[in-house]
Amino acid sequence: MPETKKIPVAQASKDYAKIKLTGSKPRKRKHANAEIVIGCVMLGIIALMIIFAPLLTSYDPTHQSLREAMLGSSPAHLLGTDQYGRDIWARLLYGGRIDLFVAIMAVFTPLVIGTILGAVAGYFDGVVPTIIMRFADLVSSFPFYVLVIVLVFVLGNGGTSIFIAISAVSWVPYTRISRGETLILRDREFIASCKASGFSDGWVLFRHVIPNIASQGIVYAMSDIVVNLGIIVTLSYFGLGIVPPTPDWGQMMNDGQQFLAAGVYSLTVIPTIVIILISLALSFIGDGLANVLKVRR
Amino acid sequence: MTAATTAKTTTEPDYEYALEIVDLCIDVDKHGERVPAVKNLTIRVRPGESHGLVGESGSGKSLTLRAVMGLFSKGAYYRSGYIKICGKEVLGPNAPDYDPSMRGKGVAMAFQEPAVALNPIMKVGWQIVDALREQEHLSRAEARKRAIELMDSVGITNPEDRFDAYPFELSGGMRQRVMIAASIACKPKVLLCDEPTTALDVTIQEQILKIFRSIADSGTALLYVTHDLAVVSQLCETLSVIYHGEIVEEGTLRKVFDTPEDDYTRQLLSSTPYLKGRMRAAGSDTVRKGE
Repeated sequence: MPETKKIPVAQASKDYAKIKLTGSKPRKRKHANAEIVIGCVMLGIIALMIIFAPLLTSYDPTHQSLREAMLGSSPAHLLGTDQYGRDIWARLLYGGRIDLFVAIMAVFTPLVIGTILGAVAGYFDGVVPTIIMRFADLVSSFPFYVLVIVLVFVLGNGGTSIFIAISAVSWVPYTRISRGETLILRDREFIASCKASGFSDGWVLFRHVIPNIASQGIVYAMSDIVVNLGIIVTLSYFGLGIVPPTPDWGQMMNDGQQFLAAGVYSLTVIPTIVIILISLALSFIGDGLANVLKVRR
Repeated sequence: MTAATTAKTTTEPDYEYALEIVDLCIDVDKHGERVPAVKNLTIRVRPGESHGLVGESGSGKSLTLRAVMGLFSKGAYYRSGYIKICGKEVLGPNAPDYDPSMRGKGVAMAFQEPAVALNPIMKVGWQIVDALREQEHLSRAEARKRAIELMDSVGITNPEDRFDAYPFELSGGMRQRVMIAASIACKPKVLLCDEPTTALDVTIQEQILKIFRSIADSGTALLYVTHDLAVVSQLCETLSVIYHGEIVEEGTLRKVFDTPEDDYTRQLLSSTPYLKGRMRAAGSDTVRKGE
């Protein structure tokens, strides 16, 4: 009994010694997070495969060969071919290039623009914030898809116009998020303290306000990439998106659709699975980021 | 009014008072009506002097301090009077919207709660460096060196390591030191203190007060707002007692503590009974910390 009593005391003093030793240096925050790691690994593998597509397939994704149409899986064609004899594996890899690129760009731009607009709207008083927020109300009063489709229709098909259309519509939630966060933040003492130190409003906004509110927008952006991917694929599926010779997942689904009744599922199912995997990876990253960034509050 | 007519005898600077608040009136919104919260408040602080502004919660002392800094919270409005820092009118008939040009180098402020007065996601060293770079236009390396010197001067041990710490990694006392370091970074002529020791325990409080003492000794005018008479007795030479937005008593520490004229001051002093007795017994201008 006396022996067991001694152990915790010794342990405690050891721990105390450890604290004293490391106390002078700032503690390292824990960055590792299982969800982020899993999500990044999944997304990383997919992204690498897409980037290094020429190394993983020798086929041209647009090369047609009607003699080889509708082949099943074989060593020559890993996932078979479609009705025009194009290699599905190659189309899958090259198709991701434009889809993922546009999806990510169409998140990054609204994230930056929306966050800045929201911070401005929250930080200042007066006419400018009112204009920003009423304009946001105006944009969000239209159904999201309808507005995107109309814009793509006006701007014409293709990756660039999809990017512009999505960016023009999806800055609204970022603006709302960052305005709300800024309204809370601007009454905090350290913002007053910054002003008291003689910093200009612009400096306070970019150096202190935006870094403090950015995390919410970034977490939202992760799920927004998934939404954008969905929009791009949907538009292409309806023939409004990427122009046909360029391979694209939505178009692949559309191409395969007519064979579903005949019992050929792979043409439609394969791109769907890839999109689900990407969505899953981004959800993991988003959840993980939300957890990590929450700690700071 | 009378002070304005007195001839200037000092020749070095072109102002006698580093901080001059004259007949300041501030209104606040209360249930949709504007009511006066600070009434004809006059405080003058000379360079190197530390002046205590004592009053209870809601008496208008923080409002006054923030007016000097130009930080009006929602629902507070300047009405009349003027505030001069180093002879320059920052708030008054000629500058009704507050002139921020004196912020930083002319006037700085140490806040009550350092936990919220520092940016939570910025390394503390950079918060000092920023102030230096903005006002003194130093290079990054120079500013870093100065920041570390400043941190050392306010009693932060291992300033080089602490430079890269985030505010949440520091103790309350350390955070307060960082904030003081940031506020004196540009050698302000006037330092406003909004109860900077209230959130700290007594031993740390004494160390922080020593730092303020040395800041005042270096020629900075200190306006120290608090409800704690013990702190005032340790730090200040002169004090004003504020009650419901009005100065009810002012004078040297000795005069106010020994021969209070106003009823409220007497009540305030008697609410901390040991102080008055000790003042008489010690017969000095400062009270040592009670055993």
